[in-house]
Amino acid sequence: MLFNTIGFFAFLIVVLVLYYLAPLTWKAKKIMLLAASYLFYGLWNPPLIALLVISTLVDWTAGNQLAKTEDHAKRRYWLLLSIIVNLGFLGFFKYGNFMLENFQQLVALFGVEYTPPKWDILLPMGISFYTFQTMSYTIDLYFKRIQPARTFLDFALYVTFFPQLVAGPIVRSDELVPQFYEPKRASQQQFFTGLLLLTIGLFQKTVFADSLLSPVSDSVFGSKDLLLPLDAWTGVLAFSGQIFFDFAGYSLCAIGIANMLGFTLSDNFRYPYGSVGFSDLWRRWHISLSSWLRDYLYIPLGGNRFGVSRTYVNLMLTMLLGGLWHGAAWTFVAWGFLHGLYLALERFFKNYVSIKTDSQTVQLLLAFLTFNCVNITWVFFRAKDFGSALRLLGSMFFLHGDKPVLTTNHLVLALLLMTMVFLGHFFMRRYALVDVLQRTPGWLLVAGWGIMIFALMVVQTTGQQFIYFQF
Amino acid sequence: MNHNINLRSFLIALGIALCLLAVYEWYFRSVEHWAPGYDNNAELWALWRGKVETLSSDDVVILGSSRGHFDINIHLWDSITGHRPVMLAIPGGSPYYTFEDIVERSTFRGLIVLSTAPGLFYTLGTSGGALWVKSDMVDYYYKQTYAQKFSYWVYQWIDPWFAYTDPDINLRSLINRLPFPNRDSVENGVVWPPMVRMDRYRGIRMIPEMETDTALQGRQTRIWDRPEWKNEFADSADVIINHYVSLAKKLQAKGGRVAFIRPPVTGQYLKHEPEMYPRAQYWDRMLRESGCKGYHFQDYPETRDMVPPEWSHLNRRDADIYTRTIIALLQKDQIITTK
Repeated sequence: MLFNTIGFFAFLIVVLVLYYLAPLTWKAKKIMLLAASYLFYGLWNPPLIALLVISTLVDWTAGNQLAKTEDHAKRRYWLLLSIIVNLGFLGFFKYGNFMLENFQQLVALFGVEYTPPKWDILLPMGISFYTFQTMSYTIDLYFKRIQPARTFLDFALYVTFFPQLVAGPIVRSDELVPQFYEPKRASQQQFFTGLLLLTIGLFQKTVFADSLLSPVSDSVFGSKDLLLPLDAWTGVLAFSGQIFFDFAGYSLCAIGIANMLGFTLSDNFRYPYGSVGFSDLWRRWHISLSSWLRDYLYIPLGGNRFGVSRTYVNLMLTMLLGGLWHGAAWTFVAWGFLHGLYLALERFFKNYVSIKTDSQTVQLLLAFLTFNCVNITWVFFRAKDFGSALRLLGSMFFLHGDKPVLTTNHLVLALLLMTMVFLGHFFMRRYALVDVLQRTPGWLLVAGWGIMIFALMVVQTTGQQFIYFQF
Repeated sequence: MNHNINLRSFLIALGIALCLLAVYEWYFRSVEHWAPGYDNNAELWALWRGKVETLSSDDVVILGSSRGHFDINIHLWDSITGHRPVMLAIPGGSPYYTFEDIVERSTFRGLIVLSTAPGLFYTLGTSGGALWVKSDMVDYYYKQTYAQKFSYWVYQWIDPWFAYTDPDINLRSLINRLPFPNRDSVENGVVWPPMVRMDRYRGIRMIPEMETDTALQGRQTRIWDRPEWKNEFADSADVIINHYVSLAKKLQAKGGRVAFIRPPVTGQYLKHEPEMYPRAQYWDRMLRESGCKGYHFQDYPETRDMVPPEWSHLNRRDADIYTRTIIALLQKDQIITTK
């Protein structure tokens, strides 16, 4: 089920009515939330609920055993079981065809002709998110960082909690599970702040991402021509905005819905396009994934504890795998490689070059540089293959191309909006969205809220899928 | 910190939104003449596509593009024959894949009325008009999730009451109205005028304003007109005709029937379509090779001189006459029975 559909609103209203008005015990309310979460997921493809159930059962069992036993070998066995099951699902459903294709190309190098069977594998929605989430639970238990969930119900709800089930934020168990222990009821302020966040998230998704920016990026990335630099840059900028509004919009919806139920989820985006440098960017973009990769990959690999060279290797490995997490294609690996390279270069320069970055102007210039370097990475992320990506990059950097593809209307709108996005992110980057909303004068907040609700009523998208659902 | 975010602020915001919505709806209804009605979308098409599986051999399915969709009054057809046709024609789309879908993948063994608008009908499966129908309609029908069905079930209670929900005036379409000039070789998108109103059976009637308002008609004919009229698939006529012929034969072999119709046109369409798609090489050949009956508007006095207000689609009165004429011809040829 998608947040940006009228069906979801009917679903949410029923859930809220049952949650707040039905005479249910807290345990019954949690069972209702669990059932609602399975329904939310199953209305897309009912049989795939089985994967959620298996993941839940395996990690619950492994988690309990990890909490109970002190035997090192057994603990390692239970952790391995959890990781193998979760990564096995991910590997089969997400990377099965990719691995077969690459195996075919590899053996072809040695003159072996092998045609793998054609698998029609359906990628289960949100599998990358919930597998990472449940793995964090068993890994944290293995390292004794957390307590196990008190009941199976609490754990099952942690795995399937519908606001963040299919596209995050990837929540750690110590953040969410304890919230299930005591009855939750949102205060009026929390409930309506949640509703406002839901409104803003949907506005970002349906108005900015789907209506204003998606037609522009689709035209440019779908073109087989050698484009004018203006069109190429505008298309890439538009995708840059589209993916931000799409994903940040989803995260805001998730946080908002959780708030309406009385739960708290952490921010997943903090004005990333205002970042000054790439380590700053990864503290602001998809925070729950970057912190997951840091805690469960970069640090276990050794982090920066084993010398300079090893640090760079760890950084690059983390970003390469982070790229692969986003999709089963080498273009995503290239995206990760570029980010790894940026981070390594930044680290190198910070060690050897001293730049005074206190002034607002210098920071703005550095943010602009960061923003544009990020835009270049989006080319690999969005292009369907390397040929298309290189063709577009050639157009962006004046190597070839003279074909316009965008209408004046789309050009003007996309450039105007993305200029506002960049400046908005830069000047807002020290503030949290909720704080800004709470400090906004009442008349302005109400007027803005009203206009956004109106826009949602008239925008009429037909429930376009969120980009991150495919990851 | 203030505490402005509460029930009161939400209710005021909602009030503002509803006021804006009322003005918006009023503008599109009263100033631009958009009529409230059902959207012509994939969800409603899929709903009716699903009903094809329940039809008997006496039932009728209409396929084609907008001419087949707008020019046949399915409710009048129902009142005359006792069977309301399932309307699966798609404006702006080729029946290339819808015909294939019904013949190859459905259980239907009744009559398919296949409407031909040459520019969309005589195209390959790789044409834009065929491909979007395949992906957005036919494939959507097979891939539609329970969530999408549920969402549409909720939406259909709201949709018919509002004019502003028409996809031709959604935000994406409104961007085309911005007054920036065209670039060299890239024109801003088309701004469609209102033309029809649709009901839940996908039955369509032209709105009175389009029948009488010459300014609206002019806006539409300027869209239809183009600097160069060309048959892009002239070299592929054999492949295209064979596609329809083989499917028609396949349905006939299963006990079904196919009747082709060629609805009336005027203006530039009347001038250029016969030049681009010569009757002997397309229409006559298709009927001959398929062994099916076909009803060309120029062959009958009732329809020969019809003048669609915007060259391509009939007004309500002529649509009724056209529907009666087609039914009478089908009855005369014993393709359908009288009630």
